[in-house]
Order: sequence, then C-alpha cells, then structure tokens
Amino acid sequence: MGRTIIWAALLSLALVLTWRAVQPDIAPANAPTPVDPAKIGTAAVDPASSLSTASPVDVVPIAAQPVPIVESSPAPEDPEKTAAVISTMTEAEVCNGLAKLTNQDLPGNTGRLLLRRWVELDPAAAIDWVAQQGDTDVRQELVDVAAIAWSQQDLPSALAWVEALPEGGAKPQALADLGYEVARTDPVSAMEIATQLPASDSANGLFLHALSQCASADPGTSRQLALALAPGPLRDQALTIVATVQAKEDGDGAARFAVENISPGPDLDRAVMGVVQLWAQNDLPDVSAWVQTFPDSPIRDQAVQSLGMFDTR
Amino acid sequence: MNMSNMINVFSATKRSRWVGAAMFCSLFFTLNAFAIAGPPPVISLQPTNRTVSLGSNTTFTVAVTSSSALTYQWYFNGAKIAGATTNVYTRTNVQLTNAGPYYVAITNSGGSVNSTNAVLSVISGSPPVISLQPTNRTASLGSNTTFTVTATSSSTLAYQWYFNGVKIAGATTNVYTCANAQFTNAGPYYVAITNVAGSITSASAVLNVLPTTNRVLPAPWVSADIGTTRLTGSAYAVSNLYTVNGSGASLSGALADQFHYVYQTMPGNGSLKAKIVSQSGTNVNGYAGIMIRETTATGSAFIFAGRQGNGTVVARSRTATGGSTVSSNGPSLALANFWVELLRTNNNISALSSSNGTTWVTVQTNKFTMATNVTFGLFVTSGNTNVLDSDVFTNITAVP
Repeated sequence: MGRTIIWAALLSLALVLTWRAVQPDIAPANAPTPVDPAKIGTAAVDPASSLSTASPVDVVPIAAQPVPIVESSPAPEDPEKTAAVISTMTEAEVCNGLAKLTNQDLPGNTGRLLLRRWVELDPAAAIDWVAQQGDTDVRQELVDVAAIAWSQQDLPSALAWVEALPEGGAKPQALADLGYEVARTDPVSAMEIATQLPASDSANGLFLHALSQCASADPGTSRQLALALAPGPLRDQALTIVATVQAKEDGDGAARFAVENISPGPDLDRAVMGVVQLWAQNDLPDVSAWVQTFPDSPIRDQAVQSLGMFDTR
Repeated sequence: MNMSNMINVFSATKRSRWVGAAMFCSLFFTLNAFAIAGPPPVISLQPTNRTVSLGSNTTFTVAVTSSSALTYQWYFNGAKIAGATTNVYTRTNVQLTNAGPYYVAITNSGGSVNSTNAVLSVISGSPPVISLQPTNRTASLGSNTTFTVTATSSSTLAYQWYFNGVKIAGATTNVYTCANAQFTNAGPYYVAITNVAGSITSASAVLNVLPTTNRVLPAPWVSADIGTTRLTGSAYAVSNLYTVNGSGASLSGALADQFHYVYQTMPGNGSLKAKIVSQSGTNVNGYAGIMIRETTATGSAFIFAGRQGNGTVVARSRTATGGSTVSSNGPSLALANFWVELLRTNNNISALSSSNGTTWVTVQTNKFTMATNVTFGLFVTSGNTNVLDSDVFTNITAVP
C-alpha cells in the first residue's frame, strides 16, 4: 500500500515536469509582442511623443499566434556568428529574440544587433518599442542604437526623431552620434549639430571631425569657421586640422596658415608635422627647404627624420 | 552475594521464606526484562563546541544508534532545558548568559547515556567597520604609491590586501605600498579586514600607472582612451619605440569599443605600417595593432590589423557605425617578425601582414563608406577592464 502511494507520487511529479517542459516560454514583461508579418511596416510613429513616457499601450500589431524563437539561437561567445544569424532573421524572429533578453542583456551585443535588424525591417515599430522601455538607462542605450541604425537607411527621419526627443536623457549622445553620420555628406550641418550639444568632449569631437570633412570639401569655409572660434584649445585643434587637411593639396599654403594662426605649443607642432608628412608626398624639395628654416628644436629633428623616410621611398 | 546465598539468609523462618521467594522472583523478572530490551543507546556523533555572535542562532546535534525507541533531554550547565527533547537543540537569539556547557541524556528501554559536553561560546563584539576606504591612486612609472584603510573594531584586526582578486603576500597591515609601480601593477586593489566577530571587504581602489612626463608622443600623434575604460591608457615614444598602454574589454561586435588609441588625421588615401615588438597580455580578447578609424566615437567604423593575445594575426572591420564586426585570421607569425599594414584606396581598405616587412599577405579587404578625413594609428586593448596591457611598436611608417 505504502509503496503504491510512493510510486503514484513519483509518477505525478514526472508528469508535471514533462508538462512544464513542453509549455512555451513565457515572455518577460518588457518583451515586444510578436508581429504579424502581414502588418510589417505599417506601424505609424509620432516622433514628438515617442520617448515621452513608457506607454502601457502596445502599439505593435499583435499576432494571432506567438511565433517561436528560432531554434538556432546564436552563441553569445562569438559576436560575429551572432551577427550572421541575426542578419537573416525575420521581424517575428527578432521580436522573439528580444523577448528572451532581460533588461540587463538588452544593451549587450545580441540585443543591439537584434534591434538594428528590427530597425532595418521596420524602423517605426522598432523605435516605438524602444520608447516603451521602462528602464531609463536601457532606453537611453537603445535609443542610441536605434538612431544610428535608422540613420544608415534614412538619415533625415532618424535625425527628426532624435531632435524631437525630450531634452536631456538619451538625446545629446544620440544627436552626437548622428552628427558623425551627417558629417559624411553635410559637414556644415554636422558642425551646427555639435554647437547645439551641451559643451563636452563629445561635442568638441564631433565639431572637429565635421570641420575636417569640411576642410576637404570647402577649405575656405573651414578656415573661416576655425578662425572664428574663441582663442583656446578647441581653436588651436581646429586650426591644426584645417592646416593638415589643406596640406594634402597645398603644402605651402597650409604651412603658412599653421605658423601664422596656431599658438606655439603641441598643436602647432602637430600641425607642422602633419603638413610636413603631406607636403612631402607632393613636393619634397620645397618642404625640405621649409624644414631647413626651423630653429634647432625637437620638432626640427622630427621633421628631418620624417623627410628622410620619404627620401628613401 | 549470589542468589543461593540470598535465599539461605531469608530461609530461617517461614515468613522469611516467602519474602525471599518474592525477592528472587523480582530479580529474575528484572534480569529477564533486560535481556529482552537490549543494550542502552550508543552515541555515534557527539555534539560539538559552538562559537557564535551575540544574537545569532546555533544548533547542537547528537546522533545515536539504538535498537529501541529513544528519548532525549538536553541540559545546560547541568540543568534540564524545558522542551529540548529531540536529537537537535537550537538556541535562538544567543545571549552571553547562554554560554556554557551543554549535553544531552539519551534513554532507551535498555538504559541511558549522556553525551559529552559541548561548549557554547558567545562573541559579544561585532565585525569590523571601515571608516575610511582606500581610494584610487595614480602613480608615475617607477614611483611608490600607498593605499590606506581605516577600520574600527572592539577586538584585534587582521588585514589582507588583494590585487586583481589575488592575495598579496606580506600585505597584512592597514597600509599597502606598491613600490616601483609598473604598468602591470595597474588595476583594482582591496583589503579584507577580520576580527573575532567576522570580516569585511573594502571597496575596490584602482591604481593607474602613468608614464613619466619626459616620455611623450612625437607630433603629429595624439593619444586617447576610446570608450569608457576603467584603467587610464597612455603612450610614449623613445628612439622610435612606441609604447602603448591600454585596457578594455571590447573591440568586437556591436558593443562600444574600449582601447587606447595613438592616432593622427588621415586625409584621404594613405597607408600605415608597423612592427609589433612585444605584447604583454595573453588574453584572446586583447589586441595590439594598427587601425584606420572613421572617428574616435565608440561605435565608429574601423578596420584593424593586429596581434591577438594568443599570437594570431587578426584583421577585423566594422563597416557601418554601430554595426557588427567581421574578422579574418592571417598566417602564424613569430613575435620577432610580426608586421602589419593597412592600405586605404578610396572606399577600399586592406589589412595585410608580413614576417619581414617586405613580402605582404592580404588578410582582409573591405569596402567602407567612411568620411574622407579619418584617423589612423596604433591601438592596444587588454581584453579585460581590470588589466592594462603594455605593448611596443616600431618601424612605423605613416603615409597620411
């Protein structure tokens, strides 16, 4: 009798465990709802309100049946294999992949790649989901990821979305990152973005990068912009960049510009060496003659050494 | 006195005969009953001494073998403890008055046995409290630097300092001095402080080691930590040997990059060549190499050619900002003959390796949509945010 009861109990336990094993996983509270493929690309988005609060309303179309996560879950230890798997995922698979991640994991490599893939497939749905993330830190990181990913297919829309975000929070970093994308085609606008950002190394970095792009496309404007900056380290760095880039086409003019405008110090040394390296590629005799005029100094020694490298090429 | 003698003593009178017979019967049944009940309990595990903090709980346990049912009774200082009648006795919220000897009496139908005494000792103090945590230090290469901790305690304190989670031999006072600081000494330090009532671990304090001020990078090179690195990187050049010290956990995938970068502007096409002379770390996520990078932002597009911590030639690229990376392995090269090169021709950039600086093998070529003016230079990452690698490059040929 006693033995029968024990066996019955063990059998019941086994049945319960088996039943649990075959049940679909329950998605975490912050998981995106699996998407009906027929509705992909149809979600409307209001950039101005998309980040205001964590809305309880699920704006992503709800599928009739949950779609299971793909069986070939990427190995977390190899980010490149993960990327290869994610690059072929459907939107439903992406959503289910994100649903498997905790808040802590969302800003990790897999989370970022899944979000980038979602933005590639349906940016409106993806950024709405980002806007609904309750954890502020996670949301800020994901805004940045989504903004960059979106900018690579539709820069104006991404920029409009980020510019409409509430001040503070994720906005400055996302705007700075988009600024670098803008700088490829419109460096002057990128510099304007940099000036809108709160003063920081990040803002200065964007400004200098955009200025260097402008220096190639429009040397005159870049010179004026750099010279218009208030005296200080940023101005000297900007002038150094302008001189270096100009030296690729006009070594003599770049040399004069550097010496006449940059304060003596490390930035002038960098500008001089940058000009020497680039001018030497086009006109070794002239740059050699210029270097001979330098007073005895470490920078003269470096310049002579650098020219020696070109001499033997 | 044996049984027949006892009967003889009481056989003098008839009345005495009846009494004698009764005593005999009583003794007979007693002995018979003993034979049925079996032996008294045997203790297989004695209760052991206990030392606990004031207010905590503690448990005494005894294990017994017996052929019949057992009863237990625990005693403290020789007095019965009410309700303590199982093989386990737990004293909750221990007070100083609870200190002393405990034992248990165990009885079965065959008899009774007492355990040995187990002494409960009560510690009245509390674990140490740190009143001043050790703080981050920055030391110049070769200098001495000291970490200090201050703790309060009602009893004697013992100290043990740790570096990167490993005990530092002999570092057993409240101060620890790192003498002749080297780049390999950079990282997290903490101290464990113990007294009789417990122990506490201090906050982690990071030692950064910087190169001496007379070691600088020649123009036009500048250097910076890219991404949020826990340990500050640095770089300097002496006699065309460029030493780059860098830390960081990530330089792959879509994660924010972390490394130290020695770079200059690259306006358009160009090339960069270098020989890697030494690499201090062996972490497979650590690299020393050369890089062309669109910007100094953490998710920037880049391509590098370098030496992995395990000695492999690796070329890796991220063609779009924030995107993932693609890696290619090159041929095996001895560290003494480890050359790498990057060549930029319009949108195409190639990563090459060589064992002699003359004959080159392409490891990876990729197409980029980078801005015209980018950066190029040397980089080092350790693969671990708590470790600073120190790697050396030479024969650098930069053609911007």
